[in-house]
Amino acid sequence: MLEVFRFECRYQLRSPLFWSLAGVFFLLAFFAMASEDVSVGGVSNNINFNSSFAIIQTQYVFSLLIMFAGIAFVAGAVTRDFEHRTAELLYASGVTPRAFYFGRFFGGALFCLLVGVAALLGTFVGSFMPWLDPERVGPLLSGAYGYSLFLVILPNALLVSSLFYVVAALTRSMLWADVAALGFLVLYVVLGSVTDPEQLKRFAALDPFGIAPFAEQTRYWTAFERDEQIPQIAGAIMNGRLLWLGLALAVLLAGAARFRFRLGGGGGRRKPRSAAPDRSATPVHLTLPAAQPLVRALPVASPGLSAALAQLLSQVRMDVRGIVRSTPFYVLLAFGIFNTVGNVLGTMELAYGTPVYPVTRLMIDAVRGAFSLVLLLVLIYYAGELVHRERTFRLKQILDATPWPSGIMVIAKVLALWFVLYAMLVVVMLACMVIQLLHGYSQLEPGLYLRGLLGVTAIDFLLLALLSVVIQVLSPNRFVGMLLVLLIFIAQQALPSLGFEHYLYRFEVPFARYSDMNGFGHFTLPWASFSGYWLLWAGVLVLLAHLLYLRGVEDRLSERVRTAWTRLTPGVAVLGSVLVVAIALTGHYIYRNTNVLNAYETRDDREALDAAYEQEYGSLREATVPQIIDLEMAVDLIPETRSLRSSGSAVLVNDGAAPLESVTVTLARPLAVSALTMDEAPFEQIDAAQNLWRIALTTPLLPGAQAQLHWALSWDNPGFPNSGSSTRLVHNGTFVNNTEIMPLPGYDYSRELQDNSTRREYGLPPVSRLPALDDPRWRNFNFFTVSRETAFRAVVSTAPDQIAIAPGYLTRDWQEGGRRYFAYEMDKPIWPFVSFTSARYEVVKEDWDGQSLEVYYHKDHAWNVPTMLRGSRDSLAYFAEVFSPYQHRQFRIIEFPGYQSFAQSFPNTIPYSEEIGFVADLRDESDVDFVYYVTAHEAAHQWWGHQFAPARVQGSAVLSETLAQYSALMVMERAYGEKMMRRFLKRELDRYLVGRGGELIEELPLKLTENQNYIHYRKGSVVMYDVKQMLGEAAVNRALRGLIERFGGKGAPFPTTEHLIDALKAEANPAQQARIVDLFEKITLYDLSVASATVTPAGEAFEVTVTIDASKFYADGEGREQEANLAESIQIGLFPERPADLSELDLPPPLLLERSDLHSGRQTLTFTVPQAPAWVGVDPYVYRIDRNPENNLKRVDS
Amino acid sequence: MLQIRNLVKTYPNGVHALKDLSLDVPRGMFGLLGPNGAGKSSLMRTIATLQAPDTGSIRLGDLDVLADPMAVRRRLGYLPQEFGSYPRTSPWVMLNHLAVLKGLHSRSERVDQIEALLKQTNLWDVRRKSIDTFSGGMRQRFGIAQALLGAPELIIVDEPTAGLDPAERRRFHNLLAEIGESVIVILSTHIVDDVADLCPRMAIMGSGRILLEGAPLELVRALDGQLFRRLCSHEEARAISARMPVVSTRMVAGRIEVRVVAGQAPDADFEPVAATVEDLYFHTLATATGEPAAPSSPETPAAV
Repeated sequence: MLEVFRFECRYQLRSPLFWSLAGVFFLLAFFAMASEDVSVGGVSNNINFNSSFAIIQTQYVFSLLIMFAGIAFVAGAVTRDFEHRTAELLYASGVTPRAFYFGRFFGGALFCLLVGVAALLGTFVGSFMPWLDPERVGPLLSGAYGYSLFLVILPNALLVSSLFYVVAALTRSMLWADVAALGFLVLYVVLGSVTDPEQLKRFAALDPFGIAPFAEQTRYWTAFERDEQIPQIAGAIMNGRLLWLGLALAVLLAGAARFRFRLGGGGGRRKPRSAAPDRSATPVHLTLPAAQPLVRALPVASPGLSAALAQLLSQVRMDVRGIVRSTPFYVLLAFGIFNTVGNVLGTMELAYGTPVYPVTRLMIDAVRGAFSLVLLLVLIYYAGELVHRERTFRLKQILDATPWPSGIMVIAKVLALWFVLYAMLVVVMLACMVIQLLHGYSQLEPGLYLRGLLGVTAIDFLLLALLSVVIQVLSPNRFVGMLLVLLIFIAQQALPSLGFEHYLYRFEVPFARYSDMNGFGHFTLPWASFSGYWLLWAGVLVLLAHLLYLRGVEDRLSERVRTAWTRLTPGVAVLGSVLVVAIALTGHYIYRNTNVLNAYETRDDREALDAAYEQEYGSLREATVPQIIDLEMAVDLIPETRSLRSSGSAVLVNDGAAPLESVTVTLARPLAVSALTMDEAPFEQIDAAQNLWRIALTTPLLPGAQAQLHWALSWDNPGFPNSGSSTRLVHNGTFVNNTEIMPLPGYDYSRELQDNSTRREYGLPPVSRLPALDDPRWRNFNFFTVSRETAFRAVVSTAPDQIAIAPGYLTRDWQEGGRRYFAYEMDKPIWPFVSFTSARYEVVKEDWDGQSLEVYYHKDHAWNVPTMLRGSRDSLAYFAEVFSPYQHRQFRIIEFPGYQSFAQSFPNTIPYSEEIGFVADLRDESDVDFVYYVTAHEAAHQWWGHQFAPARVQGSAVLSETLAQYSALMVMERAYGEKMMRRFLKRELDRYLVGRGGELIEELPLKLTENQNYIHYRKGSVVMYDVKQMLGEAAVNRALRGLIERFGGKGAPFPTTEHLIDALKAEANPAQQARIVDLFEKITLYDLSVASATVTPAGEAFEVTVTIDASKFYADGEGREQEANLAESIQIGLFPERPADLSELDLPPPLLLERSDLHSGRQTLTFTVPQAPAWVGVDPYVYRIDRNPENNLKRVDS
Repeated sequence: MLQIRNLVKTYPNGVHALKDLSLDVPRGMFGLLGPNGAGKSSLMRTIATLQAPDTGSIRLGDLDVLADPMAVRRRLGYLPQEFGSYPRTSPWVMLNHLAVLKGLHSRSERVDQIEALLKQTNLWDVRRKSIDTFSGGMRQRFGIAQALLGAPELIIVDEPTAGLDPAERRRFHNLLAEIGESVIVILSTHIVDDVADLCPRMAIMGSGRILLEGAPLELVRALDGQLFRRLCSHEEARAISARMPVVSTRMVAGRIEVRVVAGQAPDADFEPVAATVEDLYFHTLATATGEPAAPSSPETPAAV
């Protein structure tokens, strides 16, 4: 065995494959560590480059890639002798089968491991590179390297080695080893698509690579923990490793028992084929007169197109036949279905577990998301298989001596590979349709599948497939070819992040996004243009392969080049020239669109531009900004050409204390100016790149004085850009707001770069997300960055078949010059932030209590319109009852395309994305009613935001978003009960805890949130519900009503979270006040658990003894925790039976639910109840923020 | 007429496979005889357009083989030394595919021809069976059937009878003999009898060169009266081979037969014997290399 092992080692050490693979792994890991532009496995910017999490996560990703090494070294080792037909020699050499089996295995496995170690080494070396931002390089973490080596690389290398080895040894076929690899990958992808924390826990151990349990354990890790902590080697991580390693060992031993030296099919598994009978067993004699030729000479067709076509078809038929007759193909198709179904079912839901209708668009997205990797591997694999097929079956010499043009073989292989891709896509498409039908969704859209899946999604794979074939044709063996394709793919992925973004050289077609409302819209033209351009290049590649195709046995490059010259016939030259000319023409057409009609900008260009804006004009932050008090706009939307003309006038007032000498406006970059004046004096452009305009006032604008701003602007979208085509101004479903289409005086805060690493590169100070809570200047500006409300009127025109909507009430509606006009006027002042939408809408209107409730929706999206109306009614009724009257007479929900997924509240107007509710499937009433929730949340913003606008300081989002969340929760609780709250809040808690881990700068207490979604939405919901449980709904509403009375409809100074906290504290006793401080002003975490619970009969009743562990922590902004003294009264619940659904906190009615005073540490409580409880819980409904909510409940030991 | 002129081929590993080789191959069966490694397969592949020589030229009639390989492939039938087929594929399907690749356009004529070939090669009954399951002889017959597709003018057959049992070999010879009338058939082999039985003309190749070329019978006649044999023991055989060049040694009825070429009988124990192609072959190789071509150890018979 040692001998075989040593032989194997020598073989691999001499093999270029090992060195190249190890080199690739080393370099990739090196760049993943040492380059900010390359990231592996979603390691984010908030942690150190060499943080423990980054190191381990990177190694997990590379251990997936180890599968390639496993296939090449291990499966290759055992099948090599069969492929090279040296098996007889080997068998005769006196090695025992067992020694051969294990020797080869350990040899292969060792090199598989070494490739993984090369990646670890790359990570290690990369972390010392001097150019890394020193702020993000931590100390050397030997623990993380140890974990990576012993719990990631070693087990995964052993696992893939042994499984692939056994498959290859028993089947004697690389193909089956490849299929096994793909099976693993599919299992991994499916498990990876599980996002629900409960399911994640359940299935984590099943992940063969151990990534899922790692993800599960690190789910709530903060930046601090990610930097330094090593996962605990216990629980699912340990179980998973043991499970799979045990399986691997069992398979390896079982394989050894079955392994025999036998030629051909192995393992005795395959049934022996019946040999063809040879009926010519007796010698034949000469039967024909010698003069008569054996076969009549046939006119062999002269070379020509029809002959070539016949040859091509025949070859394609042979190759396709070979594929469809092989079992692995069907295994792949089965994987495809499994993968799709797994992923589709895993992703067909919205944020709170609410299912969505399986509309075709979402099915295609899901397939794209999960299936791409599988398709990529299939095409890399099959390209090698198909191109080297003739060599494998020793047909090459015969075939190569027949008269077909070499290109025929290349094209045939490409077509056969395309066939495989399409077969997989079609099978997946059918699987999707079945899923749709099973969900009772019968609006099948075969046409959309055709365009979206078989066209838009397929094109990149068709191109890559062709490239793979060409590379395989040019490469000496299939492993080198596969490696090259993989490298090209990786390079292709890496190019954009290195600043090479143009699709003219990326061998990739820009993705055409689909929206039910807008179809493929304006993405169609660039998609088609780039597809054509790259297909022409594909033609050139095929010609190249035709010239360099290896005919016969000669392998020297110089020979092939020499042969290529002889193949360069006039026909080929003409075809090549035609292609080159066509490429030049399409390339020129594209270039004209992307670089002449539009500006070609890379991400770096945009960042540089934004950095320059901040550097050069940052002083504008201090300037007094005149306020708009009257706004009149005329917006002509031209959806047909994606253009608009925006003109209007605004009355500006100097709200400051000093005279204004000049006014600067920053216009959105694509806007062109035809007029821009103040009191009829023109502005001057002072920076064309930034579109910055300034007017020096001849007579300064005195405090309190007014001036008339007037503008006429246009926004055109000629042709198509390389990327970043606007999705705001589209053919059907335009949604723009006034800040995009009018001049706004002052500094544009939205242009500031938000990522601190990027800011450091440009020498900018760390980002200031919001002014400090106590910044007195900003008390006078609200979160719209304004201090005054304005009157508002607008005339909006659009295409004759569309409806255009702006805030205000429709006063007139007419047709003129083939356009449709709508005049809107608001009857009271509003904050100057308004939307303009236009699309072909269906409209539902309902009169309710003097209000007009309206929904404007896409014709196929009628499902949830009734829910939206009900949500509007319930919300407006509740808010009017508990807060203050609704300020408008109308409430409109307006659908816009799913390019963005949010809803946004403008005065009496709610643009609402098709992505987030119009397709929610609300038929199961136990699910969270996501549509009702979003509707209530947006309705609440008419109060929290529009009536009550917070100051633009830290915590402002609490007063808008957290209070809108609270309001929506109350409306939901009325309609759906407390159980639904728990479902909802459980997910909010999870999202908060996950969100902390992704914090880029610093987690702040709720009071100080700086537009951090996971804090003001997620934590906000949990906190406000806890406060409501503590103080009662009436008290909280009383406090909020008081705030609206004090600040509502008034100007500066604007409210802050201080006011909210004071108002809540006013309703609370001292203990509750202390809790309010914990909730709002600190980052507080609890760990509450029932250690044990026993019950003993006490006469008629039962005595229950409960041991509880309790602790409380305060965390700092990076997640460092400090234990705090816990002394609070916390709910204890005793339950008569097992909870129906523990993960949804669906608990039975309690026998007893009372607050007990708990302190830090362990404590024992006793209760007497008339009935024996089965379950006990501390804070059973998880009102407090607890990272292990599942141990709050425990079964009673009897 | 196939004219081969001054072919030189050196492989990247330094092996000189063809050393300035020239040869004329007329219509009819042409035997190319040589030991393993003589360069036969290199020559065959070069003629079959599967490999380009470093220098030299090949003409088939008025066709420049090296300059226009496509035209040659249209007139070529090639049965390589080793070949397989697509898995689970029948001779019918395989022949049909190869026929299309050879440019046999008309479906009906193609079917006729395949049918005729399958019958002629006695594969008609197994035309729907998978080639994977064929015996060695059936496989070789399939090989010749595919080589004959499209009635080629030039047929190259590389080591076709290696591993066949005598009956199969005989059958195969018959097949070859039938086609060898009107076209050029180059039969490359290291089996002397194949050539002796079939070929009106032959050449002997050794280390990349043509050592001898002509009609077998005439060539053999040149040895007439010069070939002597002697039956002896091991020790005697060793003594003889030390004294004079030996053409071949082999076992005959338990004793060792030593053959030598000489002007007259070397001693009284030698008796004259009629020369065969095999003697010619060994003699030619021995003369070319200065070493006895046939293994002189009696334990291993010199030739099959």
